[in-house]
Amino acid sequence: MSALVHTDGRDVRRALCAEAEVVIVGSGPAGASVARACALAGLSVVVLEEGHEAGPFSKSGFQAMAALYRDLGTSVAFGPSVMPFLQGRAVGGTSVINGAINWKLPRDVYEGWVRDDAALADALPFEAIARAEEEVEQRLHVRPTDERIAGPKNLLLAKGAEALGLEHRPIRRNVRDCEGTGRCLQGCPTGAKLSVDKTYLPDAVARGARVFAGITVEQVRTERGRAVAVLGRAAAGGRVSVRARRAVVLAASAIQTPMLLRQSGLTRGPVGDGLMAHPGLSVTGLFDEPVNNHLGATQGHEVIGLRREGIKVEALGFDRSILASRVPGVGRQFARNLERLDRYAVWGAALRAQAKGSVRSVGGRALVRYALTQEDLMKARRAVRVLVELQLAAGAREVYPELSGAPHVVTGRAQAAELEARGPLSAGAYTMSMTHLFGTARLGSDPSRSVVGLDFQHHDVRGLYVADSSVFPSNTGVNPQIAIMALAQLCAERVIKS
Amino acid sequence: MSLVETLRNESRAQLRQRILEGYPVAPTALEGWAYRGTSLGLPRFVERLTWKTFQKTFWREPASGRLLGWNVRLEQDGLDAPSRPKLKRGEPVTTGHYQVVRPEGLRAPGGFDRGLIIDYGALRDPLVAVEPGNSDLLLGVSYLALGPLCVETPTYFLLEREHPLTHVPRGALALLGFERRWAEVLFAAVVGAPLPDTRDFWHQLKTRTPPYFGPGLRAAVHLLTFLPVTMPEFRRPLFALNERQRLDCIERLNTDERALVRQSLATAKILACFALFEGERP
Repeated sequence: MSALVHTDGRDVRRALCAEAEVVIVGSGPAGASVARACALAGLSVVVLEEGHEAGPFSKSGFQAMAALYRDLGTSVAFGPSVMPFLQGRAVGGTSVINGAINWKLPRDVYEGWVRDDAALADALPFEAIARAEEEVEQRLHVRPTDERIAGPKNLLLAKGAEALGLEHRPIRRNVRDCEGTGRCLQGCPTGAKLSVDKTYLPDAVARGARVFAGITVEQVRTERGRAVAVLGRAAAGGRVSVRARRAVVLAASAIQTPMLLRQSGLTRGPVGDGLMAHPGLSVTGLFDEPVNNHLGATQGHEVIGLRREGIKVEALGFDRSILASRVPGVGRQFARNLERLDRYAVWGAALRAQAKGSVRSVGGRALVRYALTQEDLMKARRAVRVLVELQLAAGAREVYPELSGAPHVVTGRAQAAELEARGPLSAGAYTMSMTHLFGTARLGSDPSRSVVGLDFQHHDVRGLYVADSSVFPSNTGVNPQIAIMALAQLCAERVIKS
Repeated sequence: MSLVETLRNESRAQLRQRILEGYPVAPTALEGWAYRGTSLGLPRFVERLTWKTFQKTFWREPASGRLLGWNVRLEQDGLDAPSRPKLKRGEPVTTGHYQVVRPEGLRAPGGFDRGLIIDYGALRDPLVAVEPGNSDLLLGVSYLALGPLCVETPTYFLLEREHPLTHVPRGALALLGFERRWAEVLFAAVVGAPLPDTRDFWHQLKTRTPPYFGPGLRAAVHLLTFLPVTMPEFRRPLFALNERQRLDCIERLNTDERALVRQSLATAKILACFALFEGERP
C-alpha cells in the first residue's frame, strides 16, 4: 500500500466489498476535486481508478504512453477520417500527462450556455464558477511560464506572434519549481507539475478518502430509482462492489462516463450524444538555430488573439521519438533530416469545432464517432495558414504543413495564404487529433436534452451525479482543466448538501 | 440420454431454438478455462474437411483486462476420446484468436444477444448457457457481420468445461511472426536505418492497444509490403527487395496521394520512430 493508493487492484484476486458515503469513479481532475471537497466536508470517500499509481516515469515517449495512456494512445474516433484522441489512464487521470495548461472558463462561452438554457444562470452563476476556479488556481499554484525555463520553441512562438501582431502570452501552468525538462506529456520526472495525484488526491487521502487503483468499474447499481453501488473488476480478476450510502459520482471522462451509464442501462436522454472536442493540428518548421523542441517548458507559450475565431495556438513539446515522426520525408531523406532533429519546432492549433459526435458501448468498448463540419474544416484551413505564417515570422527556413494536396514545403507568406484560399476541405486531407472532450452527459434543465439536472444529479436516478466534462453544454475553445475542476467542486457542494 | 448426447443429435432448427432461448453466461465463469468443443449441425463432408472436436479457451489479459481466447486444434481421436492437442515445435497449435464481449451495441441476428459474443471480427459466435446458471455446458453458433448485414451460418458448436488453462500462446491478437518481420523491414525502410532490439516494443503494442489496432496495423503492413508488387520498377514485395530498392520504393510511396496509402505510411512512420528511439532508452 502506498501513501496515496489504499488498495491496488493488481493484488485483488478475490471478491472485494467496500462501502462509503460517496463513491467516485475516476481519479482525474474532476474525480479528485469531488474527493477532496467531500473528504474535507467530513464524508467518507472511495475513489475508484482504472489505472495505476503513476511513476517513476520513463524518458521514452513510447514507454510513457504504454504506462500512462489509455490504449497506448491509439484510441480513435471514426468518421470521414480516423482521428486519434488521448486520455490518461493512471491515478490522477489526464492531469498526469497533460501540458499543465490552465484557462478559466471564458465568459463568452458561459454566456452561450445560458443562451441555450436560461435556467443555468441561477443554478450555476458565473461568479460561483469563477470563485471555484480561483480556489483551484490557488491550490494548483497556477502561474505564467517563467521565461528562464521556457526554451527556444516557446520564445520563438512569442517572436512569431509579435511579428504578426497577434495577441500572445506565456501559458499559465500548474507547476512549482519547473526545470523545463519538457516531459509533461510523459509524466513529470521532477514532480514539478502539480497534477491532482500530487495535490487534490493527497489532500483527500489526508482526510480519510481511500483510493482504489486498478479497478475497472463496469456498472452502477440502482435500487428503486437510487444509485446504491458500483460494480467492477480488479486488475487481478477479483470482483469489486462498493456500496454508496449517499452518492455515486461519475468522473471517468466524456468517453467512459456515458459508456458506464449505458452499460448500466441508463440510456434515456442524450447519453453519449453531443460529443464535442477541440480537434488539433500541428505544423513543423525548420530553423537555422537549435530549437531542442523536446526541452524547455513542454507547452509554455500560446497565441490567444484568434480565440474568438475558435483557434488557439500553442507551442508543443514532444519527446524525440514523437518529434521524429514529424520530421519530413521517409527513407534516406528522413535519415538526413533526423540529423538536424534539434532544429525543428512543432506548434499546434486547437479548434473550437462545431462538430458533434457520439460515444457508444460496443461489446464493452467505446465506439466513438466524430465528423468535422465544413465550417470546422475552413477553420482548420485557416489554422494551418496561421501556424505556417507564425513559423515563418519566427524565422523558420522551411515549414511543412502536412496537408494532402498542398505543397510539402512552404517558404513564403504568399504560399501560406494559398493554403487558406485553396487548401482542401476534406477531413481526410488533415492530420488531426482530438483533445478535450465534452458534452456526452450534458447538464441542463430539460431532461429530453440533457442527462443530468442543474444540480449535476441524473434526471432519473437519485444519488447519481456526473462531475466531469461530460456535463459541459459545449466545448470551451480553451484548455478545460480549471473549468472542469471548478464545476466538479460545485458538483461536490451539491453532493455534500444532499 | 444425457443433455450432451441430446444436443449432439438435435437438428439445426432445434439448436437455433436453443440459442434463442439460451441463458446468460458470466464472463468470469469462463476466465482461465479451456472448453472442449464439438461441432454440431455441419454436413458430414464439411466435418471431414475441418474438425469435429476442438478446444476453446478463455483468458483475461492482465494488461488490458480484456477477455481473450483462441481455438486449439485437437487430434481427431473421436467424440469421446480425451482431448489431445496437435503440437508444433512442442506447443499446441492455436488458431482463430478472438475477444469475448457482451452483445450490447453489436449487430447480431434477432435473438442472438442473450449471452456473450465470441468476436473474431467479421465472424462472431453468440454463446449461451443451455441451462440457467450452468456455465459448464454452452452452446454457440456462428454468424457473419458484413457491414450492415448479418448472415447466419449453420455452424453450431457445443462447449463443455474441460480443464483450467495450461497454455497461453505468445502473440495473442498481435501480428504473427512473419508479419512482424515484414513490419520491421517496412519500418527500417521508412526511417532509413536499422532498428534496435524491438522485442519490448512489440510486447507493448500487443498488450496495450485496443482490439481494432491489430487489424488496422496488419492492413497497413500488408498494403505497404505488397503495393510494390504492382509497381513496374519493383514487382516484388518490399521484403524481397534489396536495401536500396526498399528505400527507393518507400520514397516513391511517400509521394502517393491516395488516402489509404498516406494513412498507412503515417502509421508506419510513427511506429517506426517509436521503435527507432526505443534503442535510446536508458
